[in-house]
Formats: sequence, C-alpha cells, structure tokens
Amino acid sequence: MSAVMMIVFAALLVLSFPVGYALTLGASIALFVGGQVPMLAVVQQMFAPTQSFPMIAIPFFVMAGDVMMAGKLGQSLIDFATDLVSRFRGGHAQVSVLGSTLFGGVSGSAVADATALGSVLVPWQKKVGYPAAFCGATIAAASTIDILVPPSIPLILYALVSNVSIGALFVAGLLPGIVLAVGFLIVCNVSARMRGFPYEKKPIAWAVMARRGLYASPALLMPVFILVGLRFGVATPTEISTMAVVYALLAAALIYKDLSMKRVYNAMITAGVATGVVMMLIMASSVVGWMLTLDQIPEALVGWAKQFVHSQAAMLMLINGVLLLAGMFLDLPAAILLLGPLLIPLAQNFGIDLVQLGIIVVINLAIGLYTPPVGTTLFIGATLAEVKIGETVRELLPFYLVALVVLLLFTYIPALTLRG
Amino acid sequence: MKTPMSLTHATQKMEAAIEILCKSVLVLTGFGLLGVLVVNVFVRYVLEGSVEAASELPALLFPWFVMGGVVLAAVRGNHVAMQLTMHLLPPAGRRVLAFFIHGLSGVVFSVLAWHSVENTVIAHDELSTILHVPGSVGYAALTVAFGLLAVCALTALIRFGVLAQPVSVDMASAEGAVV
Repeated sequence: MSAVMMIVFAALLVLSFPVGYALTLGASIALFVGGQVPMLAVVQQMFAPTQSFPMIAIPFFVMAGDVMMAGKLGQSLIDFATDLVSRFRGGHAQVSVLGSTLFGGVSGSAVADATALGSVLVPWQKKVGYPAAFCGATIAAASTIDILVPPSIPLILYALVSNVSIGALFVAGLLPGIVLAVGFLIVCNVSARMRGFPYEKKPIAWAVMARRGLYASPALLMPVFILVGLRFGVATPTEISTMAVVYALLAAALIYKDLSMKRVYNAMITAGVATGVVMMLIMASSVVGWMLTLDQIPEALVGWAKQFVHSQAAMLMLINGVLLLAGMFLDLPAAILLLGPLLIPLAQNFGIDLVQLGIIVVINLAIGLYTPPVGTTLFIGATLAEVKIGETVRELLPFYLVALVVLLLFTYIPALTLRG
Repeated sequence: MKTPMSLTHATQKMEAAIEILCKSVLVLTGFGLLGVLVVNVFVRYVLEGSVEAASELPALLFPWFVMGGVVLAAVRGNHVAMQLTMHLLPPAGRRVLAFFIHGLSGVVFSVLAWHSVENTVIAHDELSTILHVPGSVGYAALTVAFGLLAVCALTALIRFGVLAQPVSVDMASAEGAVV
C-alpha cells in the first residue's frame, strides 16, 4: 500500500500537481487499489489535524506578521537596518541580511520576506552599482533566516510531528538564525572587498539611528515577547499567537497610527489562505503517516539503519544528505511533514536529541529554498534581480558554503542547540 | 461564439461566488476564533477564571476556517506545486497537463466528498461535552471543502479544456506561501 502511494505521489509531483493534492490523491488511490481499508479512513485521518489546538497558532502568527509589516513598520525596519550597516563595505547587501533577520522576528515567512524586502532592496542595490545576480543571491539566501528566528512556522510543523515543545524549538532556533546572519554578513563584506563593490563612508548619525531604532522597537520586541512568554510557560503557543495579533493591532493603531479595517481584513484573508495551503499539506500528510505506520515502514527503516549505520555521526550525516536532497525538490512544509515521522524514530534510536534534530531539519530545508532545481526564494531573487537562475546560483556559492558550515556546527556540536 | 462567452461568464461567476463564500467563512470563523481565544486568555490570566466553552469552540470553528483557506487557495491557484514539468512544456502541452491535473483531482475530491458525507452522518450522533454540538458540524466543513475543491477542478477543466485558456506558470509566485 505504501509503495503504491509513494509511486503515485512521486509521479503526480513531477507532473506539477499541487503537493497537497499529490499526497491526497496518492493516498486515496493506494487505498482504493489495496482495497483492505475503507476510504472513510482517509477522511477521518484528514479531519484529525483540524482538531489540533497548537495548529491554531499558525494563522495568528501569520496575521500578526502581516498586520505589522503591511504598514509603516516594514519601511522603518529597512531604514533601521540601513542605518546600522550601509556605511560598511558590502553594507548595501548586508541590509538584506540584517533586514531579513529583523523581519524574521515578525513575519516568519522566507518567501514573503524575499518578496517584500527584495522588491525594495534589490533595485536600490543595483542602482548603487552592485552586480544584479549578487543582489538576487543575497536576498534568496538571507530571507531563509526568517524561518529559524521565532516565530517559525516550520518549527511549529516539526513540533506537530515530533511532539517536542514549540517553546523549546523557538528558543533553539534563535542561535542558528543569528549565526547564519553573521555568516552571510561576512560573505557580503568579503565579496565587496574582493570585487570592489561601491560604498560610501559616512559618519554615523547617532541621533537618527536611535530615533529609528526606537520607532522600530515594537517589531524588534515581538520575538522577545514571544520567547519570554513561551520560555517561562506564561501561556501556550496558541495563546501567545493571539496575543501577538492584539499586540500588532495595538502597535499599528496607537504607535504607527496606520491601522485600517481593510488592513485587518486583508491580514485575516492572507492568514486564512496561508493556513489553507499548509493545512492541506498537514491533513494529507496525516493520511500518509498513518498508512506508513500501518505498513510498519518506520520500524523497517530503523531495522535497516541498525544493520548498516554504526554510529550517531554517520546517522547524522545520512540525515543531512537525505534532507538536503529532499529540500532541492520538495516544498519545505511537505518535506517536514513527510520525512519527520521517518527521521524521528531513527534519531531516537541513535540517541539524537529531537530539539537538535528539529534545528538540523529546518537548516537543511532552508538551504533547499535557494537550491535548484526547485527553490522558491532562488526564483524570487533571480526574478527581482532580472537575471538567469544560473547566474544567481553562481553568486550563491559562498552563501551555500556558510550555510553548510553552520549546518555542520549545529549537527555535530549538540551544545549549540540552546535548551529552553 | 455565444456558448463559449456564456460559459466563460458562468465559470467566472461560479469562481467569484466560491471566493466570496470562502472569504466570508474566513472572516467569520477567524475573528470568532480570535475573539474566543483572546477572551479566554483575559479571563484566565487576568481574572483567574475560566470560560468552559473556550475549549470546545476552537475545535468547532477551526475546521471551517481551514475549509475557507483550502478552497480559497484552490480558487486562486495558491496551492504549492513543483511546476518544473509544466514550465518546460509548450502551451498546448501545458493545457493537456492542466486538464489531466484538474480532471483527476476533481474525480478524487468528489469521491472524498461522498465519503465525507458518510462520516458526517456517523458523527452526527456524537455530542460535544459542554455545548452539546453534534460532531457532524466539524465533518461538514470537510464535506463542503472536498465538494468545492471538486467544483474548482470542474471550472478549471472548463477554462483550460473547453475555453482553451492559456496556462500561466509563475515559478517565483509568493502567493499563499507560509515559509
């Protein structure tokens, strides 16, 4: 049954079916062909995730980010990031990195970040004299920092499949996000020095920077507020997400004074569509996971691994290889939901901490977002920079190198995974 | 000439009606969920009390919110797909592939809608503990979602198959993305 499902799923995926449809169709067709389990079970399995209370956090984190970023705050964050780094060598490109890190604390969406930030920053960087492909590559890579900095939707999805605390994952995601940001800032600086990118050495306008920092502080404080709330068990992730919406609405209404009913309405619709897209995947993956369990595939995989893999280090290397490959072809949420149930028993068997595994999974799949042949932020970066994918990929080489070093650090040094 | 025009009109009307329905459901259930959860947080942490219904209402509202989002994403073509094959095909090939995608999806979602009706009937006798709401309320959302996904597949079949509309591929689309 599982073999038929996987074959049908892979075929439909290649044929450009939406991933959620391919999973649902694959599972339904396999059950129909198998004929041992009634089709009613598909519906029951698909319904189950809609009864999961933590999943309600997804729309409200998306909505909070949308309310914050759709107004004046988005521009103020970019201005603040520009004040901080634009006077250094490679500073104009570094604004993409720093901006993504700051946006990450609010939006949590790499794709939304690449589009929102990239559409403003890439034309500006090109105008200053940066190579177009480098600008596209920088935003493609930097935007993925978003999904490590809390609130992170991929980490919520991983929490769903692993039963690890969302708070613990959010705390653990912060350090790799910061380390990646530092690594990418260095890439921008070194590239600028080696290739002579233009820059303007100007004195620091401390008063302006402080004013802009203060103005952007409601957004800068949002991840702090989320982490503190979760770390000290003040409230559940779902409750924190609704508080984040209230916080965003109050900040937009009272501080930025640019809140309108239309914006709130649009934010709710955006959150609804994003939830629909990801819930379709979750519901379909629920059926797939159930079928794999029925066929005892996770147990078989553990048995195979015990026979052929003899150390934790080798298992971690294997997991990285599988995830990097999957990330090149699969959409990130789908990869987490499909591979998570298979990787978790393997990791447990080899004594790998599940919080650390969550961070490894997200770093790997984040790399997949800007790796061909299927990389969403790669396509966005290349499109915004108006260059070919191949040129962007060439400019991405140092970013891949940094990301792989960060991946290896967090894979083989468990102490780097901060515990909440 | 008259038939394709009226068919185009009917398809557009149908998709617009589904979009309005989904947006209404999203707004009603979304703000309903937000309201219930915010009130519950306030009562729990400020007044140190509890709202009993707050544990059941999200379980009733969330399936409908999800239904609205899943179907609206389908109408807008926001469900994430690996579009490499579609991208590589010539316009005629794209139309054939789109016809196959929506045809097969329509059939499977119709079957699932039917089985979902069966589940809805079965769950109708189960009442929730506090509000005594039948379990069919949640399953009905899934039935409506599968039914509307099948209708969306049908309108797409008409657009690409009968009206021969071109299939556009935007590999850099950020619509509906959540990561």
